[in-house]
Amino acid sequence: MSAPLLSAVNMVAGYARGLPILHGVSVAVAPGEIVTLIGPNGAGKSTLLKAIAGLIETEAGRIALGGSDITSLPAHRIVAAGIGYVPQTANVFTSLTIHENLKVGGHTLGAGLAARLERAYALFPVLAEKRAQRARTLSGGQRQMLAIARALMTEPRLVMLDEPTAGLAPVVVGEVFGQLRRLAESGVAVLMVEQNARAALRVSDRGYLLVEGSNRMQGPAAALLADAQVAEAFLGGKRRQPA
Amino acid sequence: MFTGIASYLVFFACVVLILGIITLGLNLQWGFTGLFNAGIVGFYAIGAYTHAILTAAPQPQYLGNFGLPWGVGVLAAMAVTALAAWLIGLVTIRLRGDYLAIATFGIAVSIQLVTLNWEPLTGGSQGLSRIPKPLAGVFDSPLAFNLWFLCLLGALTAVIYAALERILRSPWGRVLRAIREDETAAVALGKSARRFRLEAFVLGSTLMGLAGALYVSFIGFVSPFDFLPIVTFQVWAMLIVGGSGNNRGALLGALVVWAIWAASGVVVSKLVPPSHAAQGAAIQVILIGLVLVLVLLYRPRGLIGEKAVVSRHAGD
Amino acid sequence: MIAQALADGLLTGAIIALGAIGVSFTLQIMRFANFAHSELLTWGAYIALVFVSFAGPGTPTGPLSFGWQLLAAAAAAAVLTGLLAWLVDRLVFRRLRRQCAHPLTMVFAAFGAALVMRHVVVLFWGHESYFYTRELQMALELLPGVRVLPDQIFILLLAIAIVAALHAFLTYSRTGMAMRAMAESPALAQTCGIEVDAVIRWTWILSGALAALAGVFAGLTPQIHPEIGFNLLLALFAAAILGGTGSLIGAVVGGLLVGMAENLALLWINPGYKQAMPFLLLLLILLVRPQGLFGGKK
Repeated sequence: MSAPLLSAVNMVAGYARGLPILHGVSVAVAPGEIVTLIGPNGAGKSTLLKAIAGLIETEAGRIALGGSDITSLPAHRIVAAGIGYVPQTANVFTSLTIHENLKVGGHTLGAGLAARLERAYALFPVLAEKRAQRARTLSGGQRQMLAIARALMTEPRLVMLDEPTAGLAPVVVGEVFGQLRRLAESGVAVLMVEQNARAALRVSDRGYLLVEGSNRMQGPAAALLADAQVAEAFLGGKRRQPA
Repeated sequence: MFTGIASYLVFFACVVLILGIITLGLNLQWGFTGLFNAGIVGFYAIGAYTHAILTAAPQPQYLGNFGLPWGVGVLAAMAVTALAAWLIGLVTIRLRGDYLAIATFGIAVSIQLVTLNWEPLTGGSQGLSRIPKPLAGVFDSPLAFNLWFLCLLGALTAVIYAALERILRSPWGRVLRAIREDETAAVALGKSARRFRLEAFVLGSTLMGLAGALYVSFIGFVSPFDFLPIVTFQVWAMLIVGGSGNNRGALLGALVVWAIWAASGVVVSKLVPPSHAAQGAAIQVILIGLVLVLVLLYRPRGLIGEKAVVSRHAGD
Repeated sequence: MIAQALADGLLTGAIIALGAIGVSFTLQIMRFANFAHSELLTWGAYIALVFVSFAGPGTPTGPLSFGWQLLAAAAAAAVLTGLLAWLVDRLVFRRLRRQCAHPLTMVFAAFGAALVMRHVVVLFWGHESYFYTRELQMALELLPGVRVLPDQIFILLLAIAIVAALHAFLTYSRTGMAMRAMAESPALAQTCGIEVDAVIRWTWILSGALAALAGVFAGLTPQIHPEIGFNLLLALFAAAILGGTGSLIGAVVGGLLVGMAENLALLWINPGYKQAMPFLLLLLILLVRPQGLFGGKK
């Protein structure tokens, strides 16, 4: 692994002070890598992403992006630092049109907005043809595409996605992972949380297994896929999912 | 001169106890159940007017004024207020906090409008007078009567206080506490949580109605201008200053806030010439308002201190 | 009779709508019921009165009872009231937000701020009514049985223009879109780089400005007194919630509906109960469709 772009070390964070969900988690992602966080519900995977995104307070630990400390950066400055975040729910503005969603995604861009919009439509043609429609009229898969496109408007160096394939049809899942692969190939670092762990690890370079707010295991994706402990986590995860 | 000061103090103490009973009712609703009642004065008014209408001496132009005994008036006031609170609660309890505030505020305004406009029943802007004071005939001087009434109020307050403390330690009270402190427990209990909240709301409002009946039987007349929204604000101030979630604090808050209010009234009337009485009254309200807002900003233990500092919506 | 009530309702509704827009966005973006909002209407009316007492309302232009000076006074009042609203937020509400105060602490603080604001007006101007202009107007009979004052028609047209301008601002400007984004999802908006404090600042300034204009219009038809805002408080809340919080068109439609319902009800019930009408509408909508007409799911 080349020098990491994102380095989160000994993260202690949660939704209320004194009641942390993360108890010292460390994660690193290099440019062009796809890293997946897996683990049972409540392990703190989403919490970690939110802490990095500045949406919840980091009680202890350090987050560095490209060498700069971003631990105490407020949420609205995170995007300027170079991170794009796609939350699991409420990841598009349903009352806004696709075009407006993308424009809001490019809120921090000055003159470059128009060019980025064209680039987004080129990458996601399905959004281009529906650009005047409100986001609430989109299907699940289209919404996910919009959510990702919105996050990419600022051409972030690191993209974080929380369960990007949740509730999507298998064909669409493949499309999403394809987009992520293309992103990584262009040099962007990708960090994702996935309940669909097996499929996610297959497209990833490395993975981290988090359990109850701590690092349990980490390594190349192929190694995690072959491991028995990880299979146990899969089973734990799979039992909760409907057939 | 001594009689003058004594008179004033007795009167003051009576008002404090009446307001204290209202504050105890509010404490049950907010301190123990987490319901934001912005319409306190409405329930106070219902109790007051029910008592007045039932006990005032009959007069031809009024529908009511049945001249019934004091005790009947007080009990009826509590019953009618309880019924009104139950109906209002059914409709509004499920609303989220700030919407509940708007709804209860609107109810109080509507009730005040009724007292102002339904002349045949409420006497309109003139109000109702000749409301008998309990055992008034026995006492020959106002001071003697007021002393007796103060004892009556003291006894009632003690009984109410003791009853509330018992109730809150009972199983019912413990469920109430649990519902207030943990939203997810409340959700799990579902419909039952709403029932408990409704019961607490009704009980608290009944106390406010009782206070209304006591007030009019102390003063001897009732007017719609005694029931303006500022009374709601005053009672909330009492609860905040005294520290909510604590019955002793409620009574203490009533004493402190009313003392400040009365004192500021005296100071302002000394400094402001009588010709500018309206301006003087405005200054008084401004001062109190500023003090309260400052207390909230710099010493907010009352209103928010009781609630545990746990995020209510983890995972948003 | 009904036609006249509807016409009156439309005109009152326009005023309520302008005030309700601010309430609607405050409820949605900051999630607290700002009981002090109605006092912004009162302050707007009185600030304009100050300007008018120096410069006069202007010689009546055409059928109207005032000249451009009153409009200038209204514009000045809008700017100053917008700043006042922002100031009150900085001094009181923002501090409470920073302390992670319970939303109901904010409601109580708003209640207190409202009392202070209203009584400062009483302190300086007393309880008597004031007038922008003493000019008498001839009512126009637009339709048989429907009489309106030229001032009222002007106000309605101006209100429409203001709402149209606001709509354009919200739809096309960067700040406007940021406000709409924040109204729907503060977390997602922040993730896009939108600063919460900046949006809140603009929300207060716009709300205050709109409220001031509503106050001036109310003061024009027909008089200014310290309760002018407070009397509309329930109507403002009703309109905002009826229309669906966070929605411009919701606030406008809500305002018009509340105005018309109020005036229609006056045909049958004692005018003393006028203030209770919007409240009953409010209860009804909370029971039947709490997200309002144009509100999304919350």
